[in-house]
Amino acid sequence: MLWKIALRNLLRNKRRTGFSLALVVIVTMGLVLFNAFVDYTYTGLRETMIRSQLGHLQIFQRPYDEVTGQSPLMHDYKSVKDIVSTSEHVAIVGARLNLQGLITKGGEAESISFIGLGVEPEAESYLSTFRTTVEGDPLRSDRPFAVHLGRGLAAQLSVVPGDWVTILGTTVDGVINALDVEVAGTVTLGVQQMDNRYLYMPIQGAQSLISSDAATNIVVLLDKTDHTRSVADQIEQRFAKEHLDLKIKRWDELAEYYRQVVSLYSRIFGVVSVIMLAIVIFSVSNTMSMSLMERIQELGTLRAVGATRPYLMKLLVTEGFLLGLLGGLAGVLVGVCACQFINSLHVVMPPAPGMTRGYPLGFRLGWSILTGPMLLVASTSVLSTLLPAWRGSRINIVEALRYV
Amino acid sequence: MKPASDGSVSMPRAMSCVRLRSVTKEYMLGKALVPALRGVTLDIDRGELVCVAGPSGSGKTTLLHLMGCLDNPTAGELTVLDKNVAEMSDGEACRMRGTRIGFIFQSFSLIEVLSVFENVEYPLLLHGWPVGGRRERVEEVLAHLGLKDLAKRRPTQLSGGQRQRVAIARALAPNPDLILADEPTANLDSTTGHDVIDWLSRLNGEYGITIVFASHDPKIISAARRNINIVDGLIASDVTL
Ligand SMILES: Nc1ncnc2c1ncn2[C@@H]1O[C@H](COP(=O)(O)OP(=O)(O)OP(=O)(O)O)[C@@H](O)[C@H]1O
Ligand SMILES: [Mg+2]
Repeated sequence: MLWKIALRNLLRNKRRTGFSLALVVIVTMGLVLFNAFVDYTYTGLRETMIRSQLGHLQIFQRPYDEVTGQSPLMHDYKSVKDIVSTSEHVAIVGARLNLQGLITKGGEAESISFIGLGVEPEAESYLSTFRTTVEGDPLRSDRPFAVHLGRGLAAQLSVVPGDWVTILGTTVDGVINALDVEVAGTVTLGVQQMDNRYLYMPIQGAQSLISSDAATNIVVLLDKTDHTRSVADQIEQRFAKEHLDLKIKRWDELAEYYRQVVSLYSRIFGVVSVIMLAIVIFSVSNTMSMSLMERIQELGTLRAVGATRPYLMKLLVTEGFLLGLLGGLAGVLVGVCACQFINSLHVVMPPAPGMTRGYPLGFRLGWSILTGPMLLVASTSVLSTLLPAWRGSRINIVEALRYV
Repeated sequence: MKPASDGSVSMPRAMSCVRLRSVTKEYMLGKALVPALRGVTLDIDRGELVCVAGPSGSGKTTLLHLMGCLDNPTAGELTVLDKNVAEMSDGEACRMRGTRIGFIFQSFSLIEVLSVFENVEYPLLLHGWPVGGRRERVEEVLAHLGLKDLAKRRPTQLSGGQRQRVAIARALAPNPDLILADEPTANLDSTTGHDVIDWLSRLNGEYGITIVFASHDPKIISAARRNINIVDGLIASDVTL
């Protein structure tokens, strides 16, 4: 009966309730859209970072410096690879060797510093899916001295695939070493700064530049991102058993940028939510106060036939809750439809600053994305009813009865 | 006002329904005190049918509200159905109103969003009647007052006389000891008004429910055996025929 009365009271002034309800619906929808967009962005960014660069796990020789990310070279990386690749959920394992040095076209041309990465081409084609070839041929392990240049770097050197360049580096013994390599192709990572600095080559070639047979780290790609933690634990145990002094870093520990984005969006989401919920509070408490003003005599009558203050409070709060619940449900529904609709349009957003590629505008829906805003709005609605309801329940009975 | 500590004031007669001793009631209007009752001493026994008459502003409504435990007196002693009103908590007063006292208002005061049936059922629901007993009781009361066919209607779909009959049914439903009616006929034409008073006297006669109604309509006043006339917050006459 309480619910029935509360519902009928809401329906009394359909226009006013409708207005409030519409606001609640819009706010819920907004929260759902924002939530779904952020989640899509997180997921997209996460997979981008993992598949373009980080992998799910990276394995380093200890001692690993947490601040700089530096670690000693790993000499028996091949046996480590064997252990890792036989673990469950592991899809791809590739070794990498970090390089840095100078690159020049030779002769009078100036030299430019580069950051280089020695890679295992077969594995790397899965680990760097976002690195796309602009021009030329892929890297091949049977051509250790054929390299890829970032397209900005190639432009600075004014070289094209087929040209030869000289790279200079330091061997593990501290001796300067030079290597003539062929430009196999030019690539882009979608980030200008990286395209201007990066050089990629098969790990054997990179090893001969530094005169070593070692790798810097091993990058592991799993079948699913959700397995990251469990696989990391499992591999850690196997290393311990084999007495290997290795450090495992998960992608989320390595992805500083991802963490920054998440915390930025979370803050934006917080601010936006507060503003939107303030609208709900204002609208619902206004509606409830007005509705109570119109019903003062009736509230007096209810008290006269024996309704207690707590009962009135309960009745009025139920009205606010229903408003929030119905508005929230409708808002979630509308939000889901809006998400699906926009997803179906396949909109591509213009590139973010510093990026060379646009990204798709999308929404990702999940239960938590729907229930979160729903609960938030319903509880806000209840909250904003508390004060008017408390006032309503404390009316002076005889004054209310005389009220016209 | 608390009873005197020697206990002499609170010795109600066995038959007492409402008992007032030097009851005053003042309202605050801004900063001014408005005296509505200025020392009323009065006994109403169980089973009486009483009319409170008097000119507008004389204090009839105030008196009925006090008897209905809707308000506390400013001073004096007020006992309703053997309970000292000033000492009641809000919850106790609610329980009293919901179970032992019925109220009928000039403006009907039915709950608009509820049907006739639900309006009559409401006080029972508020005081924890089990569903089965509740329905049975409501049907019984509606049948008794000839309202069976209107059970599903909303108050706005009823005439004034029908509405006031629903209000009587609502007051009667919890099987109260006392029914208070504040100018129950003022918004009705004289025939319908007479019907309402007839109903009230029938309830008084059949069930022995004490009935106190306020009116300033001379034709209606005569329906009661006892007439209390108040003028300017004081009892001017108290006549039992
Ligand atoms: N809430 C209030 N604040 C101030 N004064 C009030 C209040 N309620 C009643 N009064 C005053 O108390 C006095 C008695 O009022 P009451 O309503 O009891 O009279 P009444 O006999 O019922 O009048 P009527 O026949 O017009 O209904 C009046 O002077 C009225 O103005
Ligand atoms: Mg009056």
